[in-house]
Amino acid sequence: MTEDDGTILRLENLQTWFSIGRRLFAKPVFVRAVDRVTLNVRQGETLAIVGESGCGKTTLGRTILRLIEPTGGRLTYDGRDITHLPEEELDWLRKKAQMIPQDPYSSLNPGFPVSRILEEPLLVHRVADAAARSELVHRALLDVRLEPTDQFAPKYPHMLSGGQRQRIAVARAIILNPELIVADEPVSMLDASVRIAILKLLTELQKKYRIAFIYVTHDLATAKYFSDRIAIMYAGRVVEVAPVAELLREPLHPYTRALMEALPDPDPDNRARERPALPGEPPSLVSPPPGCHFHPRCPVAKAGWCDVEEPELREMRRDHFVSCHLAA
Amino acid sequence: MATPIVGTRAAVRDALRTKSGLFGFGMLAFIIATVIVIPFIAPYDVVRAWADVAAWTDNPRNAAPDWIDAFDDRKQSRNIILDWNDFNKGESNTSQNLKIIILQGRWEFPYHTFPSNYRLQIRATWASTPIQIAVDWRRPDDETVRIFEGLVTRQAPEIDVLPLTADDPRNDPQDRVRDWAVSVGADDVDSLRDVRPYVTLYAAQGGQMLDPNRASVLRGRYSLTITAIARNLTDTLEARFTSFGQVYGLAGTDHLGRDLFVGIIWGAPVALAFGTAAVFITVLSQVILGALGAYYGRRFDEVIQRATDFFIIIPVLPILILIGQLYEVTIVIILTIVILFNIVGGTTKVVRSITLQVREELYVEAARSYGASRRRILFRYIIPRTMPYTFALLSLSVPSFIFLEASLSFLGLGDPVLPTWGAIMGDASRNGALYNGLWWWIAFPASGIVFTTVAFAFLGYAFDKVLNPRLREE
Amino acid sequence: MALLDVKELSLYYRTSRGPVKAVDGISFELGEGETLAVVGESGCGKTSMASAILRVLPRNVHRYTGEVRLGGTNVMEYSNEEFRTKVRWRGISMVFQGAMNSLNPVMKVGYQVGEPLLVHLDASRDEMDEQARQALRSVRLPEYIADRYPHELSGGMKQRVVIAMALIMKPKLVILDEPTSALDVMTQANIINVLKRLKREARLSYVFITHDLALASELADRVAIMYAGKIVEIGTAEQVYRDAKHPYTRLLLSSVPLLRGIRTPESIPGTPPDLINPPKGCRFRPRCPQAFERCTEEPPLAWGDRLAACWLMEGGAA
Repeated sequence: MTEDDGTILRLENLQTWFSIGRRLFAKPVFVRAVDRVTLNVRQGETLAIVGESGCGKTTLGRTILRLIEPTGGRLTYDGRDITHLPEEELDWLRKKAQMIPQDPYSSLNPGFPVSRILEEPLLVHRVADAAARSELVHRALLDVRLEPTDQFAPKYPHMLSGGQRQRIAVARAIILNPELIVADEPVSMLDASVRIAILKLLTELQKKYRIAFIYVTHDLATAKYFSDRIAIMYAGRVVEVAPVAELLREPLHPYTRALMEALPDPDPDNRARERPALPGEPPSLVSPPPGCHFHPRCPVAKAGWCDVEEPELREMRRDHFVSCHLAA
Repeated sequence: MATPIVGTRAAVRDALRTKSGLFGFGMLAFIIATVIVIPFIAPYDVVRAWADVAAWTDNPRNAAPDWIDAFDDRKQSRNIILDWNDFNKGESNTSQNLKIIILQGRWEFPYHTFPSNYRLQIRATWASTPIQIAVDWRRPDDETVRIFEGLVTRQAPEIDVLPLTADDPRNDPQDRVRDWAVSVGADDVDSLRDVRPYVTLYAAQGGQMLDPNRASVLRGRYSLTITAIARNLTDTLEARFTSFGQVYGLAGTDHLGRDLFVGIIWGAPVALAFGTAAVFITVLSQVILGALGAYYGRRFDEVIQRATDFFIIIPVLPILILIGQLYEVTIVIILTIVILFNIVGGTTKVVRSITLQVREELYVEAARSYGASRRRILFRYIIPRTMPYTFALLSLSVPSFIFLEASLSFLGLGDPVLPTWGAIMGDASRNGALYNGLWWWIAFPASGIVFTTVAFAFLGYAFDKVLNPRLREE
Repeated sequence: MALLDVKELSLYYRTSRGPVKAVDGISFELGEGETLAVVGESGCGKTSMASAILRVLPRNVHRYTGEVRLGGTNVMEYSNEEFRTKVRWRGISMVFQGAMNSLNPVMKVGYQVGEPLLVHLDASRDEMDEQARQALRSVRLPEYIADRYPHELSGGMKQRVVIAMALIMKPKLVILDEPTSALDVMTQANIINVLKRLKREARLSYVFITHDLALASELADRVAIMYAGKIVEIGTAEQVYRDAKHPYTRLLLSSVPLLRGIRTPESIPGTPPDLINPPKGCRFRPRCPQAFERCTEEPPLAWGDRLAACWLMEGGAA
């Protein structure tokens, strides 16, 4: 059941650790892809999860959809605890929550025509009537603006452009009338001009069908245009969560600030100056730095505190959460 | 960009466009056409007779194909049969209550080579005493030779075959023929055993009549007269004469007189059926096990992998030979054993590696997110993607199975009843075909195997070209 | 005199459906120490253009014509061998798209960086070693990297190695094809900073190929916008970013989501044309919101001091 404040998805200290090859007698080694994440998503809203590659955001997306079982914490959907539910009992979730994968070139079965690709979710969930399925396919294609639909239905993916393929992926995601869609970098492999078109399409569909989106991306600029709230992720943890305007106006976490500074806008004056960028690379998720994972690169880290104690996610402004000892 | 996308239909279509694909399909179509025509030319009961020696006694043995003299002016001798009804019969009763029966048969012999043998069969009935007969051979040069005088020893329904070529208590044909030949001017021979009655009786008069290598044929009309004295009026007598040719049929005959044409065209469906059945079942098994192993992973995969390695190494032929020596095997048993040893194999590995790859593709993950079961993903998404890659292997496996069966049959360890190409070649080898220059006996079955193998090889190559981008012609 | 002067460069590929006009009569100039950004969507021919300049051609070339003057000499007239020894890597070098994934996994990094020296200059191993370390230092990599293998390095480090490799023979011009596309924002910024510094210190010229207009502005002194195998607008960075004349350029600029601005990005309707049968006349006509009758004829690029291939320039309407 949707909670009182409209929350449909709740993550509490969610943890997804992968164990990797253990040598005899050595301590087990884990990849801490999702390391105690607390978030919630309300009906019809878009939450962006922004982070660089290797920060665990893709794993977080897959954990939310229960494609992976979390190793700790709690995952609640519509009030139901789905953290450790066995696959057989998740059938209802597989209708309500869908995904749009990142790579349009490998997210569609190359051996199926478009009509079959879109029919598959219906077949899996036993929408028995062939005529009903055909109608739903037709409607889905209309929704993603691939018309005339009978021209697109028999085509194979390799006959379509990247943008068109991604629209098919979107159509497949909405055909079961979901409540939540996890879009994992849905536009990063598309051209700049096509990106905007796809994101606009997602916005339209969101309004029309009241779908909540989790928009996983590394691009803060597109997150600005396609989300209500943004969560910044670093090394498996969420370091800041806030409504879009608030975050961009007053980024409280040093990483968020650095991220913003590192992103160029198109401006010919850029070439005259060096772009402020943090040295080094994000840490490995196998052995992240102790305490705050960001402290080795942080310009304001305090020795003795930031490298020892893990900061908690605290509400610093209204609806604005930061995980940093020094945020004021 | 993802792996080159080729669906099954597209793969077949593209393969047909290549030169080798066209050849391969063409050759295969030819073989299939042959198989379809078979029931009309040589229906199954003819084949069942393959194991029955008695069914072929009317054919010459080790005869060459009858078209080898097509462009030759010298014609090889053909098979001539004067059947029971072809003899003119005359009967008369004598005063002493004896019946005299005279049978006469005539034929033309226009050939330039001697027959390979001849035979006179008698079917008689008598009430009390066996019938006494005399057989006279009359040549175009009006010479007549008595080639047999004596009693009929068997009654109907049995058939008595008169000893006309070798000594027997009832007859000494070589003596008779030699004496007559010498009396008309032939040079004598050192040993009676060198006399060939069926040569000399047809030979033109002259010094070389008794020498099979140097005698020449007297062409013209020949006749055979059988005079019989029967003691009872109810006694009957019939005769049947065969002059065995040097050539017979489209593909000659083997050492038992079996028409090799029948054997060879029946080799086609046997080979095809064996090859395709074996391939079908083993490929299905290998694909499913390879995909299952790769998809479910861990220990199951490990087990299948090791089993595959094990089975790939095991040499099937020696094992089949062993079994063939100890037990009597039919072709179905051979097929079963071959299939059992190929439950896992090369295709398993190919399919496994493709499955491992496809398993990671995003559309598989997306399928899980809309709730597709693992079984659905495996059988509807992954396995279809592996199929085109197995076509090349499929195609090339057929000839290797055919070869396996042929090898076994060659060694005489295969199905004892069916005429397979390998079996025919085995017979040829064991009966001195090459030593005696009977090339057709080996050439035709060998060609069958080669043709079929090449057809599938072309097909396999065509599929490989389509699916292996490196081989593609730009 | 310009360092690089390209005139009417064309590269067509042969395919079963007909020749693909990937690069169709491209002309531009580049001075010493200057950066030209070549911006366009995927399939517009920008990578093919780089291949054409560096003569890295596939087997199915249908047409390869034009002039490429490097320091005054038309290198298109060189034989393949001359081109290999005189131009490739010495005059012009290239950082290919995804190059960091093409490093030889079984060779140490230092050796790979220095290998061109062995091949072209017949240098000794010590000289090669020394130069390689120097090159690595110039891209801000610690020396010990020379003894590592590629799989031991992160993405950003590998990309720097590739840049070092491109600089080892001290060329005057480096072509960079999407050098940061697979990298994080932070790493991207670092790499760009390295490129900026090298440009200043070594007076390097870059041809910087990208689809990202924002990124291009980090290095570009001049910008060329490519569409369907042709350059549709070319000018200084100020001209293109602040006063674009071609409708495609304008649409492209307005499709960039701004982190700091308030403009809502707009998408460009339609899809890029088929390069086997591009539209007659102006190739952008089918998608252009301002197309009119004149556009069925191909517009010239030059209009006085501004270069934009659009008939709207005629009446000063652009």
